[in-house]
Amino acid sequence: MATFNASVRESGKTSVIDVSGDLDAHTAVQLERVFEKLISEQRANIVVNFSNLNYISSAGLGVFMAFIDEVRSKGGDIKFANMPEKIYQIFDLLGFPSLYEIYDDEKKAIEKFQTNAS
Amino acid sequence: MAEAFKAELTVRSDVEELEKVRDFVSQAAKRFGFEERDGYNIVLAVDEACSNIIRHGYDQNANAKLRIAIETIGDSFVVTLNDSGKTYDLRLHQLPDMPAHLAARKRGGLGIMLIRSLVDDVEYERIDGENKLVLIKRRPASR
Repeated sequence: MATFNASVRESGKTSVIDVSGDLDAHTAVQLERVFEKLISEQRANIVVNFSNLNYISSAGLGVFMAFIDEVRSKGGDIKFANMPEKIYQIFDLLGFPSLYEIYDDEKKAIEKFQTNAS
Repeated sequence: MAEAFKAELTVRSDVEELEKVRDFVSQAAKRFGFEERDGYNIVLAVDEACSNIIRHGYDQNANAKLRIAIETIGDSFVVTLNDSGKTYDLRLHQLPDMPAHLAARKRGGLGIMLIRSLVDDVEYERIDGENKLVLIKRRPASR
C-alpha cells in the first residue's frame, strides 16, 4: 500500500489535517474518511497542511472538490497551507487557486478563520 | 547526457500497483536527467494514464495486466503503456474548460487534463486488441 497518512489536530475551532506521503487513486479514500468524520462532527473550519505531502494525483484533488460545497454550506471552508512547490504547480495548472485559499503558512490560514469569526 | 536506455515493468491492473509504477518511472526520469519538476510531471502523467486504464479500460478487473515500457531516444523520454482493456483514445477527449469545470465541482476529467498538459506528445494505437498509449516528454532545452 502506498504510504499515505492523514491525521487531525485541533487548533481552537479549526481542524488541521496533516497529510503525508502519496495521495493517489489508492489512498484518496483515506482522506475522504477524514473529511466525512470532521463533517459529521460539525467541524467545518478545515486547514490542510501539505508540508509532508510527497505526491498528489487527480484522485486526491477530487477529494477536495467533493467536500468543498458541503463544508462551505456549514459556514466553514477548506484552506490549504504549506504546499511544496511541486504540489502547488499541479493545483495551479488546474486553476484550483481560484476555488481555494492557499497560504504559505498554516498559522495564517488558522488566523483567517478566527478573523472571519470575529 | 545519460546514455540511452530501455526499461520495462508489468503490473496488475490494480490501484495498489500505482506506487510501484511511480517508483519505476521516477527512477528512470532521474537516470535520464530530468529536473525534479519534470520528473514529477512525467510520473504524474503516467500515473493518471494507468489509473484511467485500471478504472475505465479494465473496469477495475484487478487480474488484468498493464505493461509500462520506457525508452529514451535522444532528448525524448518515451513511455509506452500497453493494455488489453477497452479502446480509448484520450487525444479525442475534449479538454474541460477549467473555470466552468471547477464551478460545477466536477471530479472527472482532471486526469486527462493533467496528462495532456504535462507531456509534450500523446500517441495512441489499437493493435490486435491491445491499446498502445505513448506519452513523450522532452528535455526542456529541446521543447
